[in-house]
Amino acid sequence: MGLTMIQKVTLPKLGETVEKSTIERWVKKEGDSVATGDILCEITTDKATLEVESYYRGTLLKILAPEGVELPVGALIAIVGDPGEKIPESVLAEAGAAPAKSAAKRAAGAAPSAADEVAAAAPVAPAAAEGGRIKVSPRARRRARELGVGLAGIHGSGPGGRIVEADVEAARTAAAVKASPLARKLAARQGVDLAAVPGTGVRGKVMKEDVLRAAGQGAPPKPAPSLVEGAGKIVPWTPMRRVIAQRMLESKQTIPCYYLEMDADVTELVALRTKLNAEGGPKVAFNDFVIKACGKALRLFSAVNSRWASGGVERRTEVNVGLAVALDEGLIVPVVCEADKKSLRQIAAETADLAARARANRLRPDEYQDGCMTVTNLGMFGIRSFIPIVNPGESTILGLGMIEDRVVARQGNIEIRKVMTLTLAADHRLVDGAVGAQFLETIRDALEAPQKLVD
Amino acid sequence: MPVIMYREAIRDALAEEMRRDPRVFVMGEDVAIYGGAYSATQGLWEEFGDERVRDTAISEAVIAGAATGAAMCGMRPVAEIMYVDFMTLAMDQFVNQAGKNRYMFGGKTTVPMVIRTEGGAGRCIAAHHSQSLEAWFTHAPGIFVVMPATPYDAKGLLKTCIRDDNPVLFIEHKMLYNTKGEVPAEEYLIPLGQAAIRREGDDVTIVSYSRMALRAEEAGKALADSGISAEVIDLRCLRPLDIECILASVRKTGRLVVASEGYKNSNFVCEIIARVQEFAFDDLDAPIERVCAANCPVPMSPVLEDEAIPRADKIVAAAKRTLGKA
Repeated sequence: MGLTMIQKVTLPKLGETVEKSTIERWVKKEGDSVATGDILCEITTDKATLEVESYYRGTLLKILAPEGVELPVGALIAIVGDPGEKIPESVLAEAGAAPAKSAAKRAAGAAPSAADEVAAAAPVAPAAAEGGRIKVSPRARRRARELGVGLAGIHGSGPGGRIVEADVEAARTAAAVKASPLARKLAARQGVDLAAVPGTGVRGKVMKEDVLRAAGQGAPPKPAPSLVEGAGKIVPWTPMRRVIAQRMLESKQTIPCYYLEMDADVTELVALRTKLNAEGGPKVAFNDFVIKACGKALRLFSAVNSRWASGGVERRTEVNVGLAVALDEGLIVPVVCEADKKSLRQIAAETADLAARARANRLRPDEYQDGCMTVTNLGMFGIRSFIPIVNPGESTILGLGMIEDRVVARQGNIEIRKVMTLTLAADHRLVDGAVGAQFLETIRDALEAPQKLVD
Repeated sequence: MPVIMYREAIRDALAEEMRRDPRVFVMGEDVAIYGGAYSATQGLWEEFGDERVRDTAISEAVIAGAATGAAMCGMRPVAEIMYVDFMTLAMDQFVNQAGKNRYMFGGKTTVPMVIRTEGGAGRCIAAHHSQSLEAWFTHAPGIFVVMPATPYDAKGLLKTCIRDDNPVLFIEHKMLYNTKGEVPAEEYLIPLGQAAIRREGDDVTIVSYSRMALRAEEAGKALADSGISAEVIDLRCLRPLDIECILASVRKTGRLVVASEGYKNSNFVCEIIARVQEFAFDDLDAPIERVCAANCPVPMSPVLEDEAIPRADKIVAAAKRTLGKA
């Protein structure tokens, strides 16, 4: 077998916890020439759109993954090579599937080379072989027993085509998906993740056509018939909606929260902001003052700047404050790192940039991860106060209401002052009531003496 | 923190123990006036003199036998065998006498001695000067076997071995003598039987020791670039073996690669594999991979030596095989 010069393009892993992505749009078309660094396609992960650059130079010979289908990281999505070059069948067969599929061709004695890779790929099949004996690793067998999942028909991705623990986990998730028997069989054979396939059958059941489409071989979906149970049409979840739903539900179900409300007299803050913005430079928003105040408070209250970890409470060393930004189809929380160390103007410049890129879906995963607490503001919609939901992984979230003129009693006199209601939601596993109250008080005091936040 | 060479760490351990305990003395070929074939005893003879830093005849049997006798008479010798390949000439004295006398004398004697030696390939000095023979000694009861990979470990472990009342074989690696590392100036000891986790990970466990542990760390970095999270363990001590550390890691990752510079057949790592399948069979998600030297005398040709002794890329390939990513 001669050496082949084709280069495989696989779906990259962009972000620590990213397991799957969807190709939004192919920028290059089949037959286009490609230089190193050229953008091949755009992909979406949980919440952001990112560009995939080519490592190779040549011609885009074949696109192997369609737009709009969710694929596992590492899946083969395209081939780049010399024009007119032949692509072996075995390579084409790998299209769209995760890379752990080469059947056991232990190269005993054979010299490793590009030829081996091409020779070793084989069509994906369930692990039952040679007289009905299923190849399963001990760990996978134990997991299957624990989960009550049958091993027959599970596709093996381990060495030698063996079923491994990850395959058993995937089968359990797949088993929970409503699908026709034919669709299920087809999905197993093609290595398609049933849970990721939108179903167009009755009540959202996954049918054969849906699996074929997911594998890049079917016709575009017919509009789903309206169902008896809803008056409207079912719109498949966007990745962002799915993540928001999963995280908010997890928060409500697993974090024991309590809520503290406090009014802040922001009359001086309003005046100071007007004055600063008249001086020129990046416009400072009310949120920026709050972020700075929260940053300083987190630095003082190590119990609040902590995370629930296995085996103990993780005291965070850095102070990262997130700001909730509303988007057309959801919301995202870009994070200002080291909010306690940055100046107010630095924070202002950063939040303006982060918010703009958030709305354009151009945030990098590291820009919306690892927050210590979140600030969320619904004041611009006339909300006086609200009870926010703590983001999993953080201990607190601060909700800001509308700044409004209110009648207050001050030193025995009736005055009209500008007041904003702060609502702090706190995870009681980490933050006790007294601590939470002092934390909120520290933030309130900082907002009422705003000159100290400017530096 | 001071940064010193592996051989300086060894010399410092010897000097400190000799200052601390007058029963400790050093003996071997060219250890005194010459300062050691690999300079590990440089300066000791100048400080401690003829009585406590002794050049011997070129006879490994004499070196091991005399050290055994001295140890049984109350001294604490640290004898050097210049190449582990020559331990063959010292076997009866070390394995049969030193290793077994405490047991066979019903506890009426102890043999608190250390034999320092070195092995390993990399200098193209061929079959009689490049071996890794630890498996012969881990097999024999009554002997401890220690193989540090870093200056920090070398110093802390050598001091512990000298203070231990058992016969210990302390195997250094010729290619590590000039490697540098941080070593505290203050005294510290490393207990025997304690492995070090060099890199934490979730996808596959890589266990190794001596110079191969450094290659395993390189492999861990390369695997990280491929999105594979490897946990890299440096055993530091082969007997007693920190099996709990290995088992805990395998229970987490489900996959194991063991790497050693010894010949593949009956390599020490086979003992690890046997114990892992014995105690963690149900935690394994893939067959265990073994990365060892070829079953042939270590070649002299640089190209062949490089192929016969495992490189980091061979460890990387083995790790990928456990994940089915051949």
